[in-house]
Amino acid sequence: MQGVRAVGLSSVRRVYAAARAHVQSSTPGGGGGGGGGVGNFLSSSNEKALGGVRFASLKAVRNRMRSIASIGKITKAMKMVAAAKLRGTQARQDLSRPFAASVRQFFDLLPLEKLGSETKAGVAEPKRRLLVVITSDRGLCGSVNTNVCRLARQMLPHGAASPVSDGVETNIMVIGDKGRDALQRTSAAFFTTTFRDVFKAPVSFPQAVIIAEEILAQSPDEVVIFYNRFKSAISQVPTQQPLLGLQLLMDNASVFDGYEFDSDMDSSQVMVDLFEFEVATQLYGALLENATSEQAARMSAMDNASTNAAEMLDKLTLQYNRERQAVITTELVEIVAGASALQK
Amino acid sequence: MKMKIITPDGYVWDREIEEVILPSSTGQLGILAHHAPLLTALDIGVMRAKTAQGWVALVLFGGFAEVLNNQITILVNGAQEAHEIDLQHAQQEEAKALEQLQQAATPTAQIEARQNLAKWRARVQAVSFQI
Repeated sequence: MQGVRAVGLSSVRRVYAAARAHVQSSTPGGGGGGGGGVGNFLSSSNEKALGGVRFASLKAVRNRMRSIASIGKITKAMKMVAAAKLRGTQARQDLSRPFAASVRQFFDLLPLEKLGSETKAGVAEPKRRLLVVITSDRGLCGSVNTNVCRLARQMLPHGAASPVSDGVETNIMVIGDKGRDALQRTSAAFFTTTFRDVFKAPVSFPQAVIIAEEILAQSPDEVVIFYNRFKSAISQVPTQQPLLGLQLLMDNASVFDGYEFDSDMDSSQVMVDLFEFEVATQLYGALLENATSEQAARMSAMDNASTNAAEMLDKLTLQYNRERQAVITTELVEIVAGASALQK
Repeated sequence: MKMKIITPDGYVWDREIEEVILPSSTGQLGILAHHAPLLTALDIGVMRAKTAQGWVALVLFGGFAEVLNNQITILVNGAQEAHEIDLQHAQQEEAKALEQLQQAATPTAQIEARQNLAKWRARVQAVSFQI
């Protein structure tokens, strides 16, 4: 009765492993149900004295089936919640587009094509660089957070342990719990500010303004936002987006000469205000993109999980039924054998 | 002339007007048709626009206005039409905001309270303009 003791002591996982091994050994006979098969099966089980184990493993399989079924239910529910939230954030995103486009229009006047695509800050050699990494607060959403963090890490000075390297100071601002957790281990020295619970409520413009103020308070030469761009429900592209620099705006203030400014007001003040507005708008757009991507990624991740759970449940059901049959067969054989022994 | 009011939550307004008075950061600013190109920052306050149906009041919560080619584009943090505002509720909130401002201890709390007060005060004003 060695096997029985093992069941009592071992974890469910080991029981499951034993059950699987047992099923594999019993499959040829149990499945076919032929006379020779049963005999074969009987002899093997007698040899190992696994009668007790068979019941216990049956129970283990049943437990596992139950847990997989409930996991499947949870992932299915999460998928539906993500789908509903996706619709919500997508609607918000659509509504914010005309606003972002109009703010952008002001900056179309600037000679952006002269600048490299890498940096639009208008500073040839940035001294203070700020990386704004947007991630989600919750996990279980595929690889969106990992992708963004990887992209951000590539921008960090290679092998440097401190923010200042080669005269350039690089700092990281993390939005979302997952990004903080992921980057803390490798790059905690670069952290300046981390924002929590940004995505708890739907993303709002005032929230973006608060974060934008924090960005501007650090007066970086160059700001790069990292986020997931929502391409479609099944495709999210990790993106790095440089923000326009105030310097660029000031240097090219002449493009706004066509406009009249309030006489009481300093036109450079309007520029600064406009710049802050632009930063907040861009950030708001990025936050929305990332929120939409997160929900879309979660939806497909949970869809996959539900499919896998269903598949696993099917396999286990088959296994469970086979074992049940095997137990019944054994009992029948034992009864028949007992009865025939009595007859003799 | 055409007028567009756009907030981060979408279009609020996109219609034809004859005249508009904007709450710019340096005071009230009236704009008629064929105004010269203009760029100005807007404060929290009431905007009044003359449409074919008469004067309409809107509360704007800060942003920018651009006048170009006989078209006004207003980009604001938020906007609300006067007829959507419940006067009694707005007055209550205004009193509450005033109380909050008096109790505000830190500079940040003061700024927040002042902004909140300005928003509710503008709402109350907008309703009285509308009547």
